Amino acid sequence: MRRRGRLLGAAATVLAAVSPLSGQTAAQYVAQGVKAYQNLDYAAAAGMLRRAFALHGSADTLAGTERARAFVYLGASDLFRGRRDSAFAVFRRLVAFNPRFRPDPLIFPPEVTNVFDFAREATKVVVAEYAADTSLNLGSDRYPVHLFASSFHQITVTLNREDGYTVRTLYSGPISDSLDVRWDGTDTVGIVGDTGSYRLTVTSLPSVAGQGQRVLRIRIGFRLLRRDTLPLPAAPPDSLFLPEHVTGNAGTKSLLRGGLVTAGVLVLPSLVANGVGPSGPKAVVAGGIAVASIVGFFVQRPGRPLPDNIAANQAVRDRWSTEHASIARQNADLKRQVRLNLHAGAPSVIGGLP
Amino acid sequence: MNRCGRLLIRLLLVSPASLAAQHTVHLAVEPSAVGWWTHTAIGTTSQSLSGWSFGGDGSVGWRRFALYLGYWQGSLQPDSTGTASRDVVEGYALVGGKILPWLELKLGPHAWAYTANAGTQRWALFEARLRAEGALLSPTLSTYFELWTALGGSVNAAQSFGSGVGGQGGLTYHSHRLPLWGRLGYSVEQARLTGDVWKETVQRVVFGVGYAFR
Repeated sequence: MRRRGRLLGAAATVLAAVSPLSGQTAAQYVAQGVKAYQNLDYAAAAGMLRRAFALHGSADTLAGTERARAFVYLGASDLFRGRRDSAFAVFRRLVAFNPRFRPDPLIFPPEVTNVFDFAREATKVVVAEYAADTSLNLGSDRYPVHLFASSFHQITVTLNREDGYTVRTLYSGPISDSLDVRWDGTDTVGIVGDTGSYRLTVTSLPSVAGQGQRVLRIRIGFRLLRRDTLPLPAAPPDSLFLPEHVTGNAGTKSLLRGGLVTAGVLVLPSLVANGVGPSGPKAVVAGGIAVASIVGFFVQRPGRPLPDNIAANQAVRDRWSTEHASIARQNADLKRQVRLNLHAGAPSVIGGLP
Repeated sequence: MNRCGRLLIRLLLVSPASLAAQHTVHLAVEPSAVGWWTHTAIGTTSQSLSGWSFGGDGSVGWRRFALYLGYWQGSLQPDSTGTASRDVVEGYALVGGKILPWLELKLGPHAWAYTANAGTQRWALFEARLRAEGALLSPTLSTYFELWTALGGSVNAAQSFGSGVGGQGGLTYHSHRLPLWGRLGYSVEQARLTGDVWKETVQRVVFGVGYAFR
């Protein structure tokens, strides 16, 4: 009778572990599994927890913390049921799910934590934390991606186009616990249309120069927001410039005018007064006019530089150059003030557990 | 229509646009010293005197027109013995109008008188003058030339006035920064009584310094 009772109890436990209990949620299964574990009923605990994972894929899935809790209790249950390989595999899945997770040593004995540590050392995975949407000043700000590794291993972090072409290698080297990779966004300059997307690829390598076993990909869409620049001042029109050299025949006209008036003064006494009177006064005046006209001719001869006009024109050019340089500097500042809007999608993983 | 008539019509047909650009009244004065040399030929006898007179002229300009007033007085000394010295007084009042930017027509009376112990001899002419100006070295140096003829005149002599012609030329230096100028000019004119029995010839050298009120 006692033996039959034990058999019935075992059967009930197995049935409870494998048969679906309608109306229960994954969280309830986990709670029941944890309770069974605490009652040292490891078979029932494993059954409940596996049932919780069986609901994975439906709308009722375990959240991050609850899922990690389910994993660690399932691994511990398997370990105490003597299924060390199964426990190791469960812990590897836990590490892959959350490399930063550590079993609480107050709850789990060293047997469990040791196996977990072995599983963590054997699992080379990286997870990333990043801002989904951000905006940064191109050239001065950087977009940080925080990487967390399960254990020490080699990684490469690259920025790839959609077609796989590597635009830039952001990091290549070891990672032990965590690593911050920062991207300045400068690779987006020159993109046609100023919009596009890259993929941030984190490849975990089991050894240096080894084949990548696990690849984490994050699609990053970007959009450049450029500041409008100021129009450069147009070069001063020719109408603003004074002639820098004597042109035309002003000198010749001066000589002609002076010559005519000089001749007129000299012949006036003969024409008007039949040559009566002294010649001294008219000679002085005529000589003065003649000298002035000759001076006027030489000063206004074609091609002679006009220093005042040259200085005035240079002042116009200098003002324009100063204004041009000032606006060019402002435009250079405005061009540097390009903002980069980023939108990072959910990570995707390629490859199994290394 | 003769040439003088065409000039007068042109003077009166001033375009409204150019008039609107010249609303400002221009005032100018020019004190001056005038060196005189006169030669009087009456029949076969002649006498010459020379000396200085001082005075000045001024102008009031509006649009293309201007009024010119001048007055000088001084004394003349004979160049030869036997002739008494004289005081001289000269003045004119001319109305001018620009025909072209460089050409001006002036009309008005011009008179001078010699005063001696024996009495006063007055010459009064109504003149028409044509004056041309041009730059030698713009804007500082310019030159001018003026010709005139007497349209009528009177002299307190036994014979009546016959004819009179004259001309002058000169050089003007304009200050670059101030509305000042200096002028050196030479003029000669001759007035004759009927029958050419009396020829009065006057030559002048003018040193003037002018100021324009803005």
